[in-house]
Amino acid sequence: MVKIDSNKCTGCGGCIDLCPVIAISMINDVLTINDDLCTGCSICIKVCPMSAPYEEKE
Amino acid sequence: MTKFYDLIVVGAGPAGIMAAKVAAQNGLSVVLLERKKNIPAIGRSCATMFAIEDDYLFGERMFFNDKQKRLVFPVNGFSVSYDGPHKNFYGQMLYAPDGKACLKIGDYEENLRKGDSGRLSVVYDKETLLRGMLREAEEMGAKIIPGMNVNGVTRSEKSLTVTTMTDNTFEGTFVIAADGLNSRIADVLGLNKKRIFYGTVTTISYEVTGVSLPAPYTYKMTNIFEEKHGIPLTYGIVPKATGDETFWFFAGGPADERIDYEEEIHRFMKSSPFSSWFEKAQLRERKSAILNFWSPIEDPYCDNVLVVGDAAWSIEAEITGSIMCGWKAANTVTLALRDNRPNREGVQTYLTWWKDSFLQYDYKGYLRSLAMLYVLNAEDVRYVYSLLDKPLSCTLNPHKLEELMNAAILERLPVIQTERPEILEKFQKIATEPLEDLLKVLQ
Repeated sequence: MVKIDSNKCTGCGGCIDLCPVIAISMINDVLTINDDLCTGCSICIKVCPMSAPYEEKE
Repeated sequence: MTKFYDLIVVGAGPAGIMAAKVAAQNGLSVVLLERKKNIPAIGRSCATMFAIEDDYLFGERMFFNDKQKRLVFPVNGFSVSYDGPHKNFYGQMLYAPDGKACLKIGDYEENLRKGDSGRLSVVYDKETLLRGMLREAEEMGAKIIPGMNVNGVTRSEKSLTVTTMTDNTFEGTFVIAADGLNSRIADVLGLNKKRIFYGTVTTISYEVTGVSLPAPYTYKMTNIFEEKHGIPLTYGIVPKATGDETFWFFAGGPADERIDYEEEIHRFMKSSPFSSWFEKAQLRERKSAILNFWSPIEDPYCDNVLVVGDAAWSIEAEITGSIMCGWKAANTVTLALRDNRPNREGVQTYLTWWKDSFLQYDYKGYLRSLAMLYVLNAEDVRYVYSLLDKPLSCTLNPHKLEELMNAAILERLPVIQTERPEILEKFQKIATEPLEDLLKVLQ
């Protein structure tokens, strides 16, 4: 599962725009990934300059 | 029953707020949707820097009127209030990676002496600008709804429906999509299919104080090759409108997982030819951005949706272009509704204006100048900059700057040919190879 480290995230929203399945949204100015929609493609992990999204081991 | 709007604007940046304000002022019923809750708070790097004042840009000759505190757009014939802080700045300096060879754009000392009339641009505070515009939009009667993550727009026979991640729906006659550089709406409407995709870049920036800079009121840039993979990263520092002796400091480059931008920024400050600038530096507020480089959308219209500003132009429309787009789009939609032509014909004026104002710019030339980074090495850049020892004439217009640099290089071509023929070959490669190949590192 992909999560976003809110301490690292600046809220720029780039990953929201680039997510191919529109799984990321901004809720009260905090970025959140909808696990039901996320396919784990990890594009957000690749593009984020802050390394805020990360793969959470189950 | 759901309220039916004349116009739904998606995205509350400068283009979207301007569109909502002008449409409401014209008497349309308007709703402005934005995914952020605190609209003026900017988490994105880059776009928060300066207003290009020294030249025509996108057919406009925008400038800041210090006395009346207004951004004036005399070609299109309107102005926007800005009552926040500003600082003048007077030139641009491009440093080679060695920190010594430097290409000067504009004569800093001379311009500084002239004061306001010698300035190249003003840096302004984008948060204050947006706050002011938002207040005006609200006063004009636009309904502003923050916290709306728009994920699609669909067309039925007589109306458009905009949907959000939280299952809200909005219905109206027209939509203006001002949802920025990586526009979701452009994508869901299929408008990206005809565009060429060049790659993705990222940037992080910090507010910094305590720096000791030569010619501080200039825009300084350099490229340093990161150690592990030799990928060139761009660094820049520019005065910030708020705070004394406060600057924006940024690093940018390919969106490549292997690059730790924060680590690189600290390395730049501690152990680079530029570290003497940062001995007492303190980093504060942090921002970032991710941007896809595409060719522009040539026909930014589909089924009563107009795509405006950065959403249709991935090289960044700058503040001038964004505000112009919002203004023009809202006025065009107003006329389309009054003339009872809620269709492509009704907004044709905007589409023609877009072509004439924006698509004249040689965006490929601009991207080719970016490609220089990936073709020349550190020593090549040092050599070229040291050859260009006279300041180039002053401009911040990224499109004209590229022309000026090419002209200056052309002048020195015989010298380069004799002394460094391999650099000449690289220039030829930059001028002739397909852009997609030159920018492969960004894909």
